[in-house]
Amino acid sequence: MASESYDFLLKFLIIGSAGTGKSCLLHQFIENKFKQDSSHTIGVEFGSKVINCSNKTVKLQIWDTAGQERFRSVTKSYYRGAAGALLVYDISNRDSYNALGAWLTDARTLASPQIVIILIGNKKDLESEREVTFLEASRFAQENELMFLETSALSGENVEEAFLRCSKNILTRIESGELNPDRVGSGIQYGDGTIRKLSSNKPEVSSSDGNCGC
Amino acid sequence: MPLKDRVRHLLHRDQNKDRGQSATGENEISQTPTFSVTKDDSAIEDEVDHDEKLPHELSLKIIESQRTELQKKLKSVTKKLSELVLENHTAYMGELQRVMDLQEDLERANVLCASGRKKLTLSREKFSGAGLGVLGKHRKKQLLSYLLQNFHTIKTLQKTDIHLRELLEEKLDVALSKICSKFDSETYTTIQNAYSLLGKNRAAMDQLHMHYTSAIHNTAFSVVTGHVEEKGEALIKEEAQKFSYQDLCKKVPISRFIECLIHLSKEMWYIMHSYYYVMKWHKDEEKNVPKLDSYPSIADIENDYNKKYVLKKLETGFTRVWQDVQMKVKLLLFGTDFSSFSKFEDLLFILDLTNRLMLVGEEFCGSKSKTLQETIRTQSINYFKSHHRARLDELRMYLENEAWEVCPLELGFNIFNLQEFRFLRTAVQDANKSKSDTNGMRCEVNGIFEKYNVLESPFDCIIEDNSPDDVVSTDKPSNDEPEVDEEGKTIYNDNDEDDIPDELKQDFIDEQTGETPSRNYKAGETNDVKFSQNSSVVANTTLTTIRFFGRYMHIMHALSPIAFDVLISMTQLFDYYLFTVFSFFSNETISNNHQLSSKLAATLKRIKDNMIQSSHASESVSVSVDDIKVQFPRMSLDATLFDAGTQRGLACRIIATESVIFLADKLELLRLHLETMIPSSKRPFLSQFYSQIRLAMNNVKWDVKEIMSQHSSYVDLLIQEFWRFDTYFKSLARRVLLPIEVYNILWDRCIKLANKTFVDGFSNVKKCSNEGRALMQLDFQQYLLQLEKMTTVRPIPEKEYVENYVKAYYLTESEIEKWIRSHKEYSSKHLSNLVLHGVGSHLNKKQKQKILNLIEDIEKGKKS
Repeated sequence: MASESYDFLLKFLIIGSAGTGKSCLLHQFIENKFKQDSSHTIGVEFGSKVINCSNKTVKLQIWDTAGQERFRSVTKSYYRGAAGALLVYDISNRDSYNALGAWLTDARTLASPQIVIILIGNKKDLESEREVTFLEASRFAQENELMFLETSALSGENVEEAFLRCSKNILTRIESGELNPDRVGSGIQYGDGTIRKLSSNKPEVSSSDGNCGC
Repeated sequence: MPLKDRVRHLLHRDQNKDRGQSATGENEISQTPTFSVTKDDSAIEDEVDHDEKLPHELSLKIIESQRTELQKKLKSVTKKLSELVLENHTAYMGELQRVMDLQEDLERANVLCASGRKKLTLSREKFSGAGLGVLGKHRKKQLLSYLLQNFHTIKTLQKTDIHLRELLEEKLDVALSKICSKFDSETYTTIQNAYSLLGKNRAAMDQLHMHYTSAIHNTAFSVVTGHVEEKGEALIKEEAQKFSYQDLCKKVPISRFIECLIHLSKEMWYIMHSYYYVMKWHKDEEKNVPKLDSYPSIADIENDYNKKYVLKKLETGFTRVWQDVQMKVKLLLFGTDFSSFSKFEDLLFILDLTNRLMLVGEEFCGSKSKTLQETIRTQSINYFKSHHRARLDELRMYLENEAWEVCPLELGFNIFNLQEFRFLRTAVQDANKSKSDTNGMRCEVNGIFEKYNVLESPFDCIIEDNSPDDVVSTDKPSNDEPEVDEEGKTIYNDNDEDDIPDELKQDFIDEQTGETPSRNYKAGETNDVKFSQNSSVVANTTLTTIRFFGRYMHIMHALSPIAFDVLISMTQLFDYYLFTVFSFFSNETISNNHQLSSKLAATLKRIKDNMIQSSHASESVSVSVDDIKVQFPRMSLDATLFDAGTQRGLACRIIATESVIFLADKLELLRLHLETMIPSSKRPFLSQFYSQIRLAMNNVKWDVKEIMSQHSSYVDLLIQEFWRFDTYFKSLARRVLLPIEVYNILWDRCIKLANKTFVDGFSNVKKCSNEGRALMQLDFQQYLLQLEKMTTVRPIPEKEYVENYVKAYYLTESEIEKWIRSHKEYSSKHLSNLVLHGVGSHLNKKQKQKILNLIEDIEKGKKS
């Protein structure tokens, strides 16, 4: 609502193959409840939540994309200017893990090379049907410089943690100057003016302004 | 007597002796035989003495001496003795006297005894009679006391009886109060019988009403208390007493509000249910009792009067009970700020609940539940305003992020398959049903009160699926009026398909070409998605907007009182969408105002004035909930839009425009539903809105106009451009598969625009010979020929527009005047150029001026 105040607004993406539980993750994160009768997402859906992270109030603007192939053209257009992404696979579905590479390329090329991505192995609760081990996934994450967590949208385990970790990482990068919120398409917006002054003292303000037309 | 005599005699003798003694002395004494005893005694002693002292030789002398001596002794003894006698005489006499006295006393005593005995005998005889009398009296007394005891007992019994009566009434009272929350026909009959035995039917009825009032109050209070938490802890009952009900309601935490409302509604339902059955019981009773005879007894009249009183009382009671219930629910509803409900489903849930309650109320006493309606209206407007505000912001965000890519919908996609529109299926049904129901509203049998037995309530099934999320998303009818048949099974599930109203079904059939109905679009990964020729072109935001529509309509459905406000908000969504699309894609052409119809321009201006925040005032000013103004959306892909390579983002433009049309289409589709939802007095607004939509649809093609505007009037170049356009378009069509309609419309627009360009070009020619004009005609013919090869659009639209203009060059003065009057489609510039440079060549100055004036007049007429 209009009265909400926050320090930063971050644009997030949730991507990954169909049926990996992206919408459920989002629902769990926002409503703290498991979405029982989830159907395939059409196009892109949206959710937002204000969280506290590193002593800052951060509003997450999360775009939950459809995993189905036919929606690729629609969903791709939402990648632009995302600050963070949850790359989701299903630990009980090898195919969804195998597709990670393609998703990752998409995200890095379409969103921004600097996008902060956390790899999420969802459906942790289906331990008996596991097809992807923690070890190999974390190795994949390491190789591709991703954070990694296994979550369960059903039980809620690690769901909030995933968003928190990703946000924290972004905030740290902003502080270190690695990410510049003033850059167009950074996916980061200031919530109020005071902070802007603080961080605009940093040297790299004048990177690329104006029409960056990507 | 002899004793006395003897004593007297003795006394006499003694006296004599005394006398004699004094006369004779010692001798006389010794002579008296009286002392012989004494002599004997002493003689014995003497004898002993004699035996001892008697010497063996008896001599007279000694004997003599002894005798003298003895005599002497005797003399002294006698003397001594008489002395003693004398000495003791008085004592003796006294003693004797006393004996005499004693004798006298004894004699007297004897007399006394005798008389005593005599009296005793007498008294003995007399005593037995009195005794009997006493006994008799005693017995009487006993009887009386027994009687008294009995009386006491009777008195106690009497007291007990009164006490029992009181107790009974108390008990009855308690039983009555229990009836309030749970009606049991048998119990109630017993109670009523008891009261009529007591002759207190009327009092009982008054009492019953009081019980209902207090039952409502107490139940509501305890229900709410049960849900109040203070600092995370449940409130203790004693503490709760300190607060008023209203305060308590305010303390119900938002997380428990729904639970509390359900609970309250349920409890209230039980009370009303019971009241309904009390009424029914009395009605039944009246039916069973035979009509009064022609000569009724007083008791009968009394009885009849009582019954009438009771029924009257009960009838007025309906409204009162419902009023009380309403108040309780109202206070609870007001206790919470609805705008703080984050989830739409929560509100829907509350609305459904309240609607259901109002339905119960209507059934209960025919009340329209004004209080409740007002409450829910105020509260939901509160909620809705903030909800709408948030939706508008969300829509803006969607629009700003929209890439205007086609969102591939599955074959057979139907907006009624969207979760947000599910409710319509049941809603239409309900609407139909309620139409048929209204007549028989209060007829006894088919009411909801009959459907549920004592332990059920219309609020039961809600509790079972407590997650409000399911309410909109599942097929369960729990959200809408639950129709529960005898077995408690829900009715809808079995014959789902049959229940879909015709107009919806129609839609299904149209779009489901042979495939199984994919209600939940469980598509999986369908790689070969086919698009039918008439598939819709929809962007992601369009879908979102439609979903919003669904939600809004759901609100309208659930909340008829604010349906109109919601409808306005819905139109705002559409307006905003329309405006955004317009400002994104055809702002460039806005300057050429004549290309837009005045109505469309007015509409756009209205939207802009009402809904778009001026860019200066935004951001810093905190936006109040009432303010519906939204920030001007920022376009996310300016770049592609002006890229000539993609024909200035033609694809995006088409998709955007088509999506507006799609929206408008769907709105048209929803019109029927909307009409049922808003009060008839507001219908004109709806039709006005729809006429605007149609207007928008008709004019929505503006966007392509400027594509051609820069092209030269030279035909070959034009044709070349058309080729490029066509090729691109066809490739685009391969990708997006646009409806043929769009293709035709685009061509239509292009050609029209080209025609305009022709006229523009021709009119700009300063000097032109007849040959030149013939060339113009030739060029145009060439152009038409080429065009017909390319496009399937027949006939080429507005070719007369150009042809007529060229031909007008040959007209004479009088003819030109007539021509100008009849051909209003040309601009004044075209006309004046025509006059000045074309026809003018064979006209004089005056004539020219006259015609120019005419053109000016026409222009003025057009403007006003």
